This record gives sequence, C-alpha cells and structure tokens, in this order.
Amino acid sequence: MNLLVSLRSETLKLKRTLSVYLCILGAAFGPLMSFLENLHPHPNQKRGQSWTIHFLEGREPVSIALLPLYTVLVCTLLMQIEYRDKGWKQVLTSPQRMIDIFLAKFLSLHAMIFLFLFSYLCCLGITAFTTELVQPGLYNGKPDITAILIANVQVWILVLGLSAIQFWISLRLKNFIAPVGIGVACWFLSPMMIFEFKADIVQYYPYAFTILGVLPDHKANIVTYQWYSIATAVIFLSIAFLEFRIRKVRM
Amino acid sequence: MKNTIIRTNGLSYKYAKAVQTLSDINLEVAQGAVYGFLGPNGSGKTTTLSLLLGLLNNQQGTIEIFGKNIRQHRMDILKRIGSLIEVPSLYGHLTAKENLEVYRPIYGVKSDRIKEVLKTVGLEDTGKKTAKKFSLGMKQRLAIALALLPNPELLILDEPTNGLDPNGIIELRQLIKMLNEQHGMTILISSHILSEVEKTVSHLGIIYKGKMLFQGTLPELHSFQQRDAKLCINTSDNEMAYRVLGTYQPERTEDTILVHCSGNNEIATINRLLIQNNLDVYLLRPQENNLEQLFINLTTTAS
Repeated sequence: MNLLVSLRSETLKLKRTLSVYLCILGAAFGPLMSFLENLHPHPNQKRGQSWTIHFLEGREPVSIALLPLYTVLVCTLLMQIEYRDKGWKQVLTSPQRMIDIFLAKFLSLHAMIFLFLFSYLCCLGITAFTTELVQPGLYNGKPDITAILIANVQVWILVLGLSAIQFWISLRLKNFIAPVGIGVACWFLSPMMIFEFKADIVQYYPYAFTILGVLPDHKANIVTYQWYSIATAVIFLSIAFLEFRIRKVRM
Repeated sequence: MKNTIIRTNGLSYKYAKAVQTLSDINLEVAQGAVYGFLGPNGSGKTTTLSLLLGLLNNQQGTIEIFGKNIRQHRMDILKRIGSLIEVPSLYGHLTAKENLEVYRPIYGVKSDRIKEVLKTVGLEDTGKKTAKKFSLGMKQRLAIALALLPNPELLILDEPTNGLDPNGIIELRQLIKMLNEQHGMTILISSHILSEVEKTVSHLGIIYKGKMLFQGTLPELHSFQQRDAKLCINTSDNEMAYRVLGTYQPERTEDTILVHCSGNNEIATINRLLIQNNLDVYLLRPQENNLEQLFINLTTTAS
C-alpha cells in the first residue's frame, strides 16, 4: 500500500518530463524509418511475411541499441528530477519508508521501459498496417500475440541487469553527463566485445545481454542470460539500496 | 507545564574528521512556541535541522521529537512535521497544484487541502504556470504551502525569508503568527538576521561556530542585551570626551566613543557631564545590538 502511494507520487513527477517525450520519440523512430522504406519497396522485397515474424524481427533494433540507450538516458533523467530541483530533501523528509522511496523510483523506471516497449509494439503495428494499406500483400496471417508478448518480456528481463547498474550509478552521481557517458561507453563495449574481440566473457557482461538475445549464435542461451540479468539486478539493487540508506549526506 | 516537542541532548556532528560542525547542542522547543534558531551563515543551523529531520545520520547525542527517537519512529514523527530546508524543493516542470498533489497522498490529506494551503500562501491563482516560471518569492511561498500541506503540529523552516521582498517578509511573519496562535502550531524558524525573527518568536536559540551560546525567551535575551548595552557618543572633541568619561571605561572607535551604560539615568548623567565640560554632543545613542554584535558579546561572555 505504502509502495503504491510512493509509486503514484513518482509517476506524477514524470508529467511533462523529457523521459515521456523520449519514450514516444524513441519508440516511433525505428518503425517510422521502416515505414518510409516500405513505401517504395525495391523489386526483391519479400512479400507475404507473417505478422508475427514482423513483430519478432522488429524487436532487433530495440534489443541491440534503442532499449539499452533509452534505459541509460531514462535512469539518469529520473534521478535528475530530484537532483536538478533539489527534491531529495523533500522526499526524504516526507513520511515514506526508505525502501518504498527506493523501489518506487526503480519501478517507475521500469514503468517507463514497459511504456517504451508497448509504444514500440504499437508503432510497429500502426506503421505496418499503414504500409499494408498502401502496398497490399506485404504481410500475411494473424499475429501470434502470445509469442510476441513472451519475446518482449524476455527483452525486458535481459535489460534488468543493465537498468539496475545504471540506476545505481545515476543515484550516486548528481551530474547528468557522467551516468549517461558511462552508460553509453559500457553499451558500446558490447558490440566491440562480440564482433571485434570475439571475447567469451561478453556472456557475463550485463550491457550485452539484450544484444546476445537476438544474435543467432547466442539465441539458444537466452534463458541463461536472463538468469544472469536477474542476478545482476539483485546484486546492484542491493548495493544501491544500502548506499541509499547509509550515505552520510543525502543529497 | 507545556510539553517539550523537540529535545536534543549533547548533539554533535562532524562532516570531516578534523572539523567539528556541531558540538553539544541541547535544543529545547516547547509545545506552542515560535522558536527562533539564530546564527550566522555556516554556524550549524542547517546541519542541526537536517539532523532533526533525519536527513543526516546522528553521530553523537540524542534527538527526541514528540517524545520519540527520530531513528526508531521516523515515519510517525515525519507525518506530524512540515519542513522547508534551505532552498525550496519544487519540481520546476509541474504547476503549484501538481507539486502539492505529488505529496498529498503521502500525507493522506484530502484534495481540498491543496486549495486551502495555496490560498493561505496567496498562490491560488497561478493556474497552469509551472514552478520554474515562478519568482523566487513565489517558489518560497509554494515551498511553505508544501510544508503546511499535512497540517503539521511542528513546522520547521530554515531561512524561509530568503528571496522574499519586504512585503513578503511581513506576510510570512503574519502567517507564522496566525499558524501559531490560531492553529497552535509549534514553529522552529532559523535565520541569520535577529531583527527578522525577533518580532515573531517567543523563544530563541543562538548558535555560533557549532555551539549554542544562548537559549531562552525573548525577554531573557533583551535583558542580556541591556546588561551589555553600550552608548555610542560623538562630540566636538572626542579626545577630551574620552578623558572626561574616563570613569566609564570608554572605548575609542574611528568617529565615536563607546561607553557601558545601564539605563536612561546613566545616559542623562553622561550627557550632562559632556555639556558641563563645554563639549557639543552630536550623537548620543545606544549602540545597535545587531546579531553580529550580540554574537561577539555572547562569545566574550562565554570565554
């Protein structure tokens, strides 16, 4: 109950923030590009593709770049709401349990991630439907909603670890640039480790889990990566909460 | 006898090992009091208030609010407190109403309370204007509205007049009086300007370099001030005046002479003495006992 009250307070703070605009713009970007491309299809364009495949293949740009980078940015923006407006003092002197404040922040981050994934699916659907009206016969059959939802839940689980690390970093650093810089650099290391260095250690690297989840060579291990991601989230959230509780000067 | 709302015992705090920010602070705020917590910038006021509100972890000493320990009963205590620490903590992208709405369910108050507090601070007509477009004074008033939202029994205001124009300061003074007299709110208000709070407060605590120099009622402070009052004199010949007033142990400043004096009769005697010695008296007034001077006096007394 207390957590719900804190969560409501956190979601109210998001009104008119950059996070919301970023969520919609970020979700619309990929499908819009694909829509523009499909308006004038090249002669060898594959026709009659199933709707389910369209949605499943559509999550690739999300898993590789959009979702990790969006998570890095939103994590920082969520904390900046408090740092920029010196809101921590008011939050911490209000009658909320520390754990509720902490979890409400993390849950609001994940509400934004869900909103992003949902908006992306909607944009994929709307743009594909519009393309179908202009170029009939591009898509075929009925979408398998369950398979699409499972695939998206998997993406969400794979980003859990990264989100917990970024949450911890953004909570520690008052500055906006540093957490974003660290996040982008850590994410950029993933494709380098996978394609450039072909390092095996990448399968333990939380910033790479969403990418590994869509790569043909690694897809088979997706459940293992999900467990690694959950374990990373538990470890880093615990550290973050301990620091949040014991830090001498609380913002 | 009235209950004590805030009681600290031997409160000490260090930000760094070598620097003792607070040392043996024994604060006592009675129920229904308007307690002025005075001290120059950097004296430890905000640190003390942050400790009271649990923003800083207590290192040494005890803090009791409403007779309970803040660490063990944090939630119960904070439900009954409204606070404003240093600068207003407002969300710039939200309107005044939305800023209050963020905290309304946390304090468990009804929606009508938002209208009430906005009216109290004169911000009921700000409509869709977001807080970042507010003037500093408006922000300060909104932060006070936020502190009043839970209809608290104890209101803690740290330098609430920062950014307020003279009119705003007078309005705040009236608001504090009204909240104290009509709603029985206990108010702890910090400031570095004595004249700003002495018209409002019933009790005072003076902190200097992390130590409490004085704690008591306003009349007690006034009697201390009078006991230590000095007369400021300027005459046509200050050298001669200095010699004439030798028995009063005068002190020389650039343009004036300062002498200790203990009342109106003594002032008249000094004036007569100067005139009898053919000195023209240009200035004869009590030395302004501003906070800085008071600190010096208190520090001297303490040492």
